[in-house]
This record gives sequence, C-alpha cells and structure tokens, in this order.
Amino acid sequence: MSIKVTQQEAVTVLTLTGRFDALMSREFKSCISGLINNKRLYMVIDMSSVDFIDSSGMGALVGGVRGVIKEQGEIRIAGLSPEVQTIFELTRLHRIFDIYETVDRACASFS
Amino acid sequence: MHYLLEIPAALESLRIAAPFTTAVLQELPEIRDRDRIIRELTLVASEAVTNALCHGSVTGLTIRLEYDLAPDAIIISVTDYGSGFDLETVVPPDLVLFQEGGYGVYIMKSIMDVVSYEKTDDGNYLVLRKSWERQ
Repeated sequence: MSIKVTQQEAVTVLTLTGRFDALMSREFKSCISGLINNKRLYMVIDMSSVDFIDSSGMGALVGGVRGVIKEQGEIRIAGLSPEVQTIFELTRLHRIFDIYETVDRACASFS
Repeated sequence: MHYLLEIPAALESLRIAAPFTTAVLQELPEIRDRDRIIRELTLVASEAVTNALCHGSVTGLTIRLEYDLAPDAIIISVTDYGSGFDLETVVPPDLVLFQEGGYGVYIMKSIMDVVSYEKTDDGNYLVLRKSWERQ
C-alpha cells in the first residue's frame, strides 16, 4: 500500500493504494500522527484504490478518526469499493464513519 | 489437497502469505458464491496470520500456515510458537467504545463455521473450518 498526501484548499486528502493490512497500518498511523502534529485536522481518506482491508486496517482507521476528533478536527472516508464496503458492514463500522461516494463530495461536506 | 507455507514470525511475512493464499484459493472447486467465499477466506487467512504474528510471534521463529482443501470444505491452520492468547476471553467489538482492536477474532468467527484454538508445549494451533454444499 502507498499513501499520497495532497491538499484541496483547507482539506488534506490521503489517497491510499493497495492492501490495507497490519503491515501498512503502521505507515498509516504514522502519517495521521504527523498531520495531527502539523495541525492539519480536516482530512479525507480516499479509499477508492484500496483493494483489500482487514481488521488491522479497520483498527488503524478507527485510531485515526479518534486522534483527529480528539484535536477537534474532522475526518471523512470516501470511495469504498463494494468489497471493502462489505468489511465495513461486517464489522458494523460503516455506522460510525462519515462515508462519502467520492472525494469531491467528502471535501465539499466540510463547507 | 494439502498446502503448507512456513514463514518468518515477522509482520513483513504478510507479503509472502497473501499471494500464497490467493494461489491456494484459486483451487477451490466451482461452488455457489465462489467469488464471495474466496474474498471471505482471503480476509480470514489474513486475520489468522496477523493474529499469530502480533500475539504469538517470537523473533527468530516461524509460523506455519496450512490449507487442507476438500471438495466440500476448507481447513485453515496457523501454528505459532509464541506465548499465545485465550480465544475465549476475546470479547466482540463494542461500537459504543469505538475501539481499535478486537475485530479480527470477530471476523473469523463471523465467517467460519468452526474456530478453535489450542495452546500446547509444541505450539499454538488456530484451526478454522468452512464447508459448503457440493455441486
């Protein structure tokens, strides 16, 4: 998996690509921590290029959301494939995350 | 058919286990909902290996990942040589608590028909079984 960080006005977009498992959850947590430390507290996680996620990836997402909310920030998730959406539903975490179909819609939701 | 992979007890071994799992699951017979079952078994295998690497691994040792594939069932077995854990004390995730962990065992139990775990002096054995109707 790779993580690309871009800025869309006030919103930081993290574009994840590939397999989101325990190995890559470490990189994700580190990335989120760095952004929080730099006070970039409005984020969208673009999952449209994630082809696999397991409980480690889900846990990392939960941790990221908790960290951002703790600092009074906001975080959205966008672009779930049907396969990844299934895992969100299996763990019932789709009820907790703010999920949008596209990055553009997620970014627009901040305004 | 029996398939065996022995990998170092390090998180980087996920990059070895994943393609091995993909290759083995392509050998599943033509069954109803085959694509969905393959996706679920891929997830379960990742959970089982991660569990062994995170909770049962000891640096310098290995873990064993085995698949026993029959026309009507698959058994996934993971053996590690670490301190192990107690399967029965793992509680289902509580959404109110918004917890980061505890989803792996929940996922395995949700998808598989049988999930068993045994700690012995020779290693810790996680065994997962799923069956389907023969066609």
